[in-house]
Amino acid sequence: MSLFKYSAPSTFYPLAGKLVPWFGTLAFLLCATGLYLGLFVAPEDFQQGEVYRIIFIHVPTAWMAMFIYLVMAGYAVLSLIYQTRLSAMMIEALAPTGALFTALALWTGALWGKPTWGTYWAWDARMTSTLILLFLYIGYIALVNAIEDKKRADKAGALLVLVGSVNVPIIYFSVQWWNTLHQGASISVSQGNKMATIMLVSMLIMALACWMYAIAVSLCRVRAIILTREKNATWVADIAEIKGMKEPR
Amino acid sequence: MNWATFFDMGGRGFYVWGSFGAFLLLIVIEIILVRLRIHRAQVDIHEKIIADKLEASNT
Repeated sequence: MSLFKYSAPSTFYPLAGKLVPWFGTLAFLLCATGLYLGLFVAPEDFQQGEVYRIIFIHVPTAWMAMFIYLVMAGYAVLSLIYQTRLSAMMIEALAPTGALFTALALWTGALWGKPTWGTYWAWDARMTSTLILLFLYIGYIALVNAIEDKKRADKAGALLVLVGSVNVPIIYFSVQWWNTLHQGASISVSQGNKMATIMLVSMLIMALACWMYAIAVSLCRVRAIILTREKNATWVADIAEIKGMKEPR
Repeated sequence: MNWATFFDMGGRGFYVWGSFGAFLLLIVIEIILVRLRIHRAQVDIHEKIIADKLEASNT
């Protein structure tokens, strides 16, 4: 059996359908565990107090915002070189979730910034480059929806994603390259080993939960995209869920 | 555990719950939208199949 078999929308559609409940359940269980540990088990931070708990949402969403864009860039390369239809569909499926995580990273960052730095927003390198990432996601969605011809839309979208991927290392290294208000990558909550460990574990579990969620929701969305684009193909008529629908009288 | 203290979050409840609330709210909205989208796509195809059958029986 070859993995390439699943690069065809007709074979990927049922596979994605089987995978969604698994990733969805994993995301739910991890999220419940992460929230429990982050809100009930992890102690108050000695410097920031209770407000530090925002990092259990902020850091995972910020990681996913960058990671999803890189995955989209990977699919963009596949789409441009091999012209695989499924790659373009995956980019389209990932973009709204990437935009959602970026918006959440900015929102939670602002809510953390106000009590900690005294401001919701500053035009520093980390925050500005993350805002640009949000515009790149929105720009991609707007671009592919504005072009009628799907092949041209996919090509233009893939190019935009590739060019925009330059922004991801800029976000990541911004705190080292420039003197920013945003702190560096280290998790500066270490006051005793046990305390740092439970905070780190809670955050990593939430990051895994976001990762599993992103996979589940993108696979679900790509199924809808496949159906919309392949509606004239003969194989869609044989899908059990569609066959099982009642005919109007 | 005192729930009032828990929700107060040391006087930072607005910031903490504003973050966790937005996270859960947006995820629930996204799940609903994606489920609606796939349902709509399936219904579209189902209707197209019926329309094609009708057209074939009329010709």
